Parts: sequence; C-alpha cells; structure tokens
Amino acid sequence: MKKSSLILASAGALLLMAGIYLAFFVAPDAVVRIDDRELVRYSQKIFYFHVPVAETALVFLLLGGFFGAMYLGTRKRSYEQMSYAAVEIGFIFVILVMITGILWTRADWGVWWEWEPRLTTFLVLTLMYAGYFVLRSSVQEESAKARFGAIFSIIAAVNVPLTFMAGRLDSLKPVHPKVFTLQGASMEGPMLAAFLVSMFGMLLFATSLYIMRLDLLRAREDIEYLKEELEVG
Amino acid sequence: MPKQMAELLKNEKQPYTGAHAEIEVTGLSKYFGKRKVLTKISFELEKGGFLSLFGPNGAGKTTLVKILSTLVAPSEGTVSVAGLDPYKNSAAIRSKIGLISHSPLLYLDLSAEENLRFYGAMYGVDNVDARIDELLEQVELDHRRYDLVRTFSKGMMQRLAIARALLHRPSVLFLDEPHTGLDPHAVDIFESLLDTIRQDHTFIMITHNIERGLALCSKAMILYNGQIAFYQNKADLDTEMFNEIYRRKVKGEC
Amino acid sequence: MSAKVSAGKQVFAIVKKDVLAELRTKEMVIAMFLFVVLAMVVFSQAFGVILNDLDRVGGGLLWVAFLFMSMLGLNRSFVHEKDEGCLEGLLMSPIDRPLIFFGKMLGNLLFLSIVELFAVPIFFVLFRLEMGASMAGIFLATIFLSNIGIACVGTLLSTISINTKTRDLMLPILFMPVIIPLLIAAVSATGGIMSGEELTEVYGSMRFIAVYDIIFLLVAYALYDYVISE
Repeated sequence: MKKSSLILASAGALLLMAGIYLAFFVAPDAVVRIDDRELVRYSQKIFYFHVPVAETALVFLLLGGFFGAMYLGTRKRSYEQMSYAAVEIGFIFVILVMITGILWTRADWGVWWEWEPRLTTFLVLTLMYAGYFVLRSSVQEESAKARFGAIFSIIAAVNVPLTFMAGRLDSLKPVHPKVFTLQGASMEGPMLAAFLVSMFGMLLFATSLYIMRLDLLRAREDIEYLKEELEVG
Repeated sequence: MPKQMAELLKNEKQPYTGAHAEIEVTGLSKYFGKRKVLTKISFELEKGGFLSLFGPNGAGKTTLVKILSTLVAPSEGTVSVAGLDPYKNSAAIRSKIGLISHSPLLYLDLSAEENLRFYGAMYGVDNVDARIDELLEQVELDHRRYDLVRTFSKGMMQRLAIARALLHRPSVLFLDEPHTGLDPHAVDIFESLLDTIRQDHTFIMITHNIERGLALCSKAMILYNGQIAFYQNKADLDTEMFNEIYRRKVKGEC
Repeated sequence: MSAKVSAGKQVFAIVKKDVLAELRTKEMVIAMFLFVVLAMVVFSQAFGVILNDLDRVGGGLLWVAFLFMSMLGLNRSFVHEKDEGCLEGLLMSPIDRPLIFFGKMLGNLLFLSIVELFAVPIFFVLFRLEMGASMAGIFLATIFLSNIGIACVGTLLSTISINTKTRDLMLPILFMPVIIPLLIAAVSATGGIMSGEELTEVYGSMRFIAVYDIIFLLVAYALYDYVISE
C-alpha cells in the first residue's frame, strides 16, 4: 500500500470513529411524541452514516463521468482507469446506501422496503451502474470496452440529477425523510458537527480506497502487458 | 525516403517509390495504453499502385486500413492520402476513398437503385441518375436495378458493392478480403471488373488469398504483430522469401 | 462533385432509407403494434381488479406498454446497419457523425409515433376511457414529447448495445434505468390528464420531459462521434 493511501485511510477511519462518537454521545437524540410520551428513536443515528455514504457515492459517480469525458477527449488510458475506478467506488457506496437505507426503513417504519422517492432513486442508480459493469464485460476489445464504459459513465452521471429531480415530481408521493423530529429542528450545532466529521471521514476513506484501486488497476495493466510481451517473445 | 523506413526495411530490394505518392505513411504507430497495435509503419504507394496486405488475424491490417480511411486516429506518425491528412480533413478524404469489403455494405431491403441513390445522397454525387445508369451497366446489373438486394446472389451483391464503392469516383480503393465467400465464377467477374478500373485508382487490398493477392499487386506487404515483416515491389519480388515469411509468420509454422 | 454535402439532405436520406425499407417489410411497425395491443390484453387480465380505477393507473399501463414496445423497435433499428456492414459504409462517407444520429433518431421517432397513434385509440376503447378534445391534444402532446426522449436515448444506447456480445439483451439493461426519470414524468403527466388534475401540475411534468429531451439531445450530439467511431 502506498503511503498516501495509508495516511488517507487512517485519517478517514479516525474521523469516522469520531463521527460515531459525536453522533451517539454529543448530537441530540431524535424524539417522537406518541400520546404525550416521548420516545427516543435511536435508529435515527444511522443518519450520520447513511447520508455521508450517499453523498460520497454521488461524488464518485459524477467523478466517474468527468474522467470518462476526459478520456474521450484525450484518449489517455490513465483517465479511463480513473473513470472506471471512480465508478467502482461509487457503486460500492451506492450499495452501502441501499443497505443502510433499508436498515433505517426497517427500524423506523417497520418495513424492509418503501417506495419512497430517494430510496427509489438510489435503487435506480444501483441498477443503472450495474448496467455499466454488464456493458463493460459484454465488450471484448479493450479499446471498445474503455470507450463504451466512458460513454455510459457520462450518460449515467447526467442521469443522476435527472433521477433525483424526477423523484420530486408529484407521482411518487414523498413518504418522508425530512421527518425525523429533532429537539434542535434543523441541522445545527452538535448535530452539524457530527455530520460534517462523518462526511469528511467518509470522503477521505473513500478516496484512499480509490487510490488503492487505481494502483491495482495500473499494476494489472502492466502485468497484462508484460505477459503479452513474453508470449510474443 | 524517410529514415525510419530505411531502418525498418532490412530487405535489400527496397521498393521504388515515385515522386507523387498517393498514399504516404511515415512512422505510424497506434497503441492502446501500452499495447501496441501498429508499430512504426512506413510505406509509400504511388498513384495507380496496388498494395496487397497479408498477415495473420490481429496483425493490425484492419487497423491500418481504418487509419487510412479516417475511421481511427493514429497515435503517432503522419499519414497522407491523396495529399491530405485523414484525421484533419476527414470529410474531404472520405469523398476520395472507397471500400469494397467482404460484407457488401448494402441494405438488403432496398433495391439496387435505392441503395446507390442513398449513398449518392451521402456523398453528394452530382447527376446521380446518370452515374447510377452508367455504373449499373458497367457491373451488368441494370436488368435487376429495381430488385431488392436480398434476392441477389453473392456474386451479384459483390458487383453491386463495387458499383457502390465507385459511385463517388474515389481515387483510392480499399479492398478488405474481397474474395471471401465468392465462388470462382464470381471471382472472375470481380477481377475483370477490377481490371477495367485498375489504371485510374490506387488500391490497398487486405487478403488471405496469396495467389490472387500476388497476381494483382504491384507491392506486397506482410504485417505481423503490428510491424512490417515483409515489403517488396512485385517487379523484384523474392517469392521464396515471401513464402518463407508467410509460412512462419502467418501460418505460425516454424 | 460538390465539395460540401448538404447536412439536411444527408439526414433526410437516412430517414428516407429507413422508411423505404420499413414500408417494404413492415416487420418492425407491425410487430411493435401487435406487441402494444397484446400488452394491453395481458394487463387487463393480470390486473383485472385494479382496472376499475383506471383513471389513476391507466397512464402507467400505457407507458409500460410503450416503453417495452419502443425497445423492440430500437433494437431492430441498428440490426440493418450492422448486419451487412452498412454502418461501416455510412461511416466512410463524408457525413458528420451527429447527423447519422439525427437521421436514425428521426426514423425511430417516426415509427414510434405512428404505432402509438394507432395504439392510443385502441387503449381508450379497450379500457372504456373518455377524454375531451382539448385534453386529448395535451395528452398526445405529452406522448410526442416523451417520444423524443425515448427515441433520443434509445438511439444513443442501441448504437452501443449493437456493438456488444449480447446485443439485444443489452439494450433494456442500459435503456430502462436511464429512461426512468422520463417515465416518471410521463406517467405523472398522462395520469394527471386522465384523472382531471390541475393542469399546472401536468405542465410541470411536461416541462420536466422537455428538459430531459433537451439534455439528452445535447449529450447525444456531443457523444455520438465517440459512440460510433473508434
């Protein structure tokens, strides 16, 4: 492992732990009132994990599209690897969003799945980016694989905000997520602090994963190349 | 003669190159990442010349032709076709080149005439009706001009494909394994047609057919692993050497 | 020979060629039409009970049928180009790459709209729906507006899918997630019209469809060169 990714990974891990501490011990608890009784919804704590994961996922997916465009413009192989690695990391985080989202839904609303706009949006994104990997594996020639991968990463990245916007149209009636009633109403003070620490930690952690993955892709490319050279003799 | 070329050609009998080369390739390389598809290809083809291109699958023959016909951008080196750079003047070059491939490049559900008319519109051919009449007569298909291409035999399709390729009066013709799938009779017709257009065009032909390839060409080249393994004028072609290299490189015998 | 070939003529020639071939075989339009009608029959049998509430779910039914039908046509659209190497012939002619896109897209848009023009009345008859003339105008406008997006994204993605090993299996996997925003808006708009909602909400959805169309037309225009040539 390279030094840079090691530092990033440790910094990210520390921040994430700090975020968990802040979330549980400093940030205010979510409270619901039922018949004059106050109930603390601890499930809301997953918010400090779920949302940073989601935002990290979006950052990397958009980055994938950006590097895809750079590849098409310059035809430099390194941009293609950067695009592919970004989509991979983004995809892992999208799946994490789904898992944490489903857990939260289950704990809060008592069902495993709810056709709620944002959850639906992420399900669509999961399927769309699954398509990206299926597409790549379905193209044999290396250069065509890179080209189509880059093109679809751009199309998908463009579609990400559109999917979010469509989710806000009236047909899917929003069930909620703005609804966790908090003592401090909007996000401020300790809650914001906990959120930002988690958010920043998640980004650092994801970036370290990204760098490692990129190194791996480059090494693999080098090995493939050397193998071919040996075969040809 | 460019320096790289002299280095590359270890054969003593280097081909003669005229002053006005129709196709000029210097130090052409194409790579993807570190993988090289073509490495430092240099050659020249004079106006009216005929280059036969041999080599195993994956040797880079198709990529070379695609670069010359503006479909693929080279990574390194310079290319000039009819005095133009394919990558910079792609539209201008495309109206000067034609392709006869092993697939006919024809729409099966259109008639012979409709196919030609469609490509005529693509190329902006002037007086397209007169040109179509002339060509259909030349390839002896005017009696079938309103029939769907779907009903044509393989040989007829190939003849129509030639008419299609000549429609816009190209000066350079690329032939991509044109003999594939043709019966001997169709080959005869095809080659007599080639004969009639031979002097006004420059040809590059990809082929696996040694006999036909050597008979037709003015220069022969074997590509292997993205490099020129053999390149000679037909006038002083060392047949033994050609066969030796062909056997070793293309067929993979030792 | 003229130095610069007119772009309009080239696009028109591509559309004309596709229409001519289709008029001859009629295989695509007829298959698409039968598919839509069959889908309606299947829906009516599969969702018999809900169909009492058709004002609310009708828009959805219609769009599911249209979406799957459009994929049938989009898949065919490039098979002709690829099978006899015609796409290579097209690429070697002096035509700007985006023009190939617009030609193919307009053809797809035309076929899609023609099939739907016949399918919509049948839908209304089968499910006993009624609609005033002014509403019908907005209804058809919504469908056409959505068709632009479907034809645009579909043409773009079918050019990619035709180059993969799995070919026609690939298109739905790529196409459906990308088209979902448009589907949501289209269902919302047509559903809104059918259940007599406030028109302002319908217009909101239509505006979204228009934005989606424009964005993907621009994306296709910018990317098509890369899609089609190496």
